[in-house]
Amino acid sequence: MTKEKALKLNKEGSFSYWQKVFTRLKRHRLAMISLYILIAIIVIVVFVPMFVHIDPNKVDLAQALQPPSPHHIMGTDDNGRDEFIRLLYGGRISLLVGFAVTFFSGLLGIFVGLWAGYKRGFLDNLLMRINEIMMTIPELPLLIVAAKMRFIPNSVVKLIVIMSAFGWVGIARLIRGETLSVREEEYIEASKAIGVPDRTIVWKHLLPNTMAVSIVWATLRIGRVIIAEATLSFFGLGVQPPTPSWGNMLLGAQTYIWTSQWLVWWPGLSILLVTLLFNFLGDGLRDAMDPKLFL
Amino acid sequence: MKNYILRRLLIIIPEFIGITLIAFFLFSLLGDPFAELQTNPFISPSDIAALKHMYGFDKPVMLRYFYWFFAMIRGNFGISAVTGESVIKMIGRALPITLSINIFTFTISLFVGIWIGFKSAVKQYSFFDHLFTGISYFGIAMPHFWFGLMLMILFSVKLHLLPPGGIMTPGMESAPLIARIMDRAKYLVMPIIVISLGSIAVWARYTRSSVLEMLRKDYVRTARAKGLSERQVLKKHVFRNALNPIVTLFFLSLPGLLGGSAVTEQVFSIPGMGRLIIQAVMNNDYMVAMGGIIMYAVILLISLVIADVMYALIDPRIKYS
Repeated sequence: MTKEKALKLNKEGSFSYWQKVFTRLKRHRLAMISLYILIAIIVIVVFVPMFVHIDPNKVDLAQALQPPSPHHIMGTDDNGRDEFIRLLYGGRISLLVGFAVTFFSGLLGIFVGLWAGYKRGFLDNLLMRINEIMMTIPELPLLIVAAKMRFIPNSVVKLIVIMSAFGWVGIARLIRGETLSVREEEYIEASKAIGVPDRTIVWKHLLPNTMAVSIVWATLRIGRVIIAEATLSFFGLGVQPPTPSWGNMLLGAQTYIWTSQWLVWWPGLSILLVTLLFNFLGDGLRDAMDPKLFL
Repeated sequence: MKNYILRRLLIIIPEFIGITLIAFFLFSLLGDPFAELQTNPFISPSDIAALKHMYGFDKPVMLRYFYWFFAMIRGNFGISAVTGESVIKMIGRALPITLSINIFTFTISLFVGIWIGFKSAVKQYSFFDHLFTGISYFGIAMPHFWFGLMLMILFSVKLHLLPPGGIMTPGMESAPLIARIMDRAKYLVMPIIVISLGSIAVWARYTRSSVLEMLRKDYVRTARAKGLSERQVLKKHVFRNALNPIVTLFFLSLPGLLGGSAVTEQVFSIPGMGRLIIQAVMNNDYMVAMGGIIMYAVILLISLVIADVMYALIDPRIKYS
C-alpha cells in the first residue's frame, strides 16, 4: 500500500481503525524490518527450491560430513546431503507447520472463546475447567504420547493435528476474556433489544473486537510452534526423516558437536532468527493495535 | 473469604479426577504393552495370557482405571515395567537432583529477573533497557536444547573447561564432600545457564510491563506531587503494587521446581524428574510416566489454589464472590 492510500480518510471523515494501525506499524522500524526479512525468507524457501533442482534427500556417502566449502556452502550432513538445500526444504516444512498449527488452533480457539464468553453457562464452565486441566498437565509428555500414536501415516499432517489439538486452549481463554468485556457494552445490548440474532452479534460485533488479540497472539505463536516442532523432532517424534525440517535436522546433532559443528549451527540459527523476527513483528503489532495487551 | 477458599479447594477434586482420566486414557490409547511379546516365537500365547492376568490387563480399561486410581490415592503408584522398581522410589531418586538444580536457578532468575525488569522499566528506552530487552528476546526465541548444544560446543569442545553431560565424574563417589561439591558444580554450570536464561527473560519482561503500568497510575503522580523522593515513590508505591501480578506468577511457576526442565535434563543427561518422565513415555513405561505426571499436576493444582488465595489477600480490590 502506498503512503497516500494509507492516509486517505474514510467516508466519515476520519481514519479507520486499520488505517491507524497500519500507519502506527509503519513507524515501528524494528517490526517493519522484521516483516520484510520474514517475507524474504518465506519467498526464498518457497521459490528457490523450485528453480534449483537438487534433491534434498540424495545420499552421497563419499561426500559425508564435509565442512562448508564453495561446493557445499553450508557443508554436508552424515549422509552426504547438502545442508543448504536441506535447510531450504526444511524451512518449508517448519514454516508450514508453524502457520498451519497457528491457523487451526487459532480458528478453534477463537470459535470456542467467542461462544463461551458470549453464551456463558455450561460451555463456559467446561472451557475454564479444560483450560485449568490443560495448564496443570505438562505439555511435553502429552505431545510425546500423542506423537507416538500411529493414527495418521504422514508425520507432518500428524504433527499439525496434534499440536493444533493441544494449542487452542490459551487463545480460547484470551478471546473469552475479551468477549466478556465487550458483551457488556451498550451497543450489544441495543443490538439485542432490536432483535439482532446471536450469530450476527458474534460475527459483526464480537469477532472484529477480538481481532487485535488474535492477530498479535498468532504472530507470537508461530515462533513458539516452530520451537515446539524442533523440540519434538529433537526427541525423534516430530517430522520423520528423510523429509527435512529445521527440527529434525538437529536430530542427532548432539553426536556431531565434537567434529561437525556446522550441523548444529545452521538449523538452530534459522529457528532462532525466524522466531526472533516473528516476536519483533508481534510486539510491533501489539503496540500498533493495543498497547495495553499483555501477551 | 472462608467460603472462597473452601470453594477453591473443592474445585481441586473434579480437576484432579479430570487429570487422572486424561493421563490414564491417553496412555491406554498407546496400545497393548504386550503387543511386542506376541511377535516373539519363544513365548506361547498362554504365557502372555498369564502375564496379562497377572498385571490385570485382561480386565476392561474402565476397571483398570479404577484399580489404578484407588491404589494411587492410597500412595501406591505401581512399579516400573522396565526396571521393576517401585515408582515412588524412582521419583525419590530423581526429585532431589531436579530440586537441587531448580531451587538454585529459580532463586537466581527470580531476583535477577525482577531486578532487571524493574530497572529497565524505570529507565525505559535507556541503553540498559534496550540491552536487556534484546537479551530477553533471545532468551525467549532460542530453543533450549539448541542453546545447550551451543554451550557444549563452546565450553566442552572448544575450551575443554566443562564436561558435556552427566552429574558426576566416575570414581568421585567416595571423595571428600568439598571435592564432590566442586565436581557436581562443574556438571551443573551449563544446565543452570540454560534454564536461567529462559526464566530470567520471562521474569524480566513480566516485571517490566507491570512496573510500566504502575508508573502511569494517578496515585504515583500524587505521591510525586506531595513531594516524596523518587526513591520513596518507586519503593513504596510503584514496586509494591507491581508485585501483585508477580506473586501469582511466582506460585504458578513453583511446580516447575519439581517438574524439571525435561529438555535441558535430556540434553545434559541429568537423571532428574523431567528426564524420568520423558524416558518413561518413550519406553512405554506407563506407571512411571503417569506417576510423574500426576505428582507434577497435583503440586501445580495446589500452587494454583495458593496463588489465587494469595492474590485475594494481597489485593483487597479482588472480590471473592
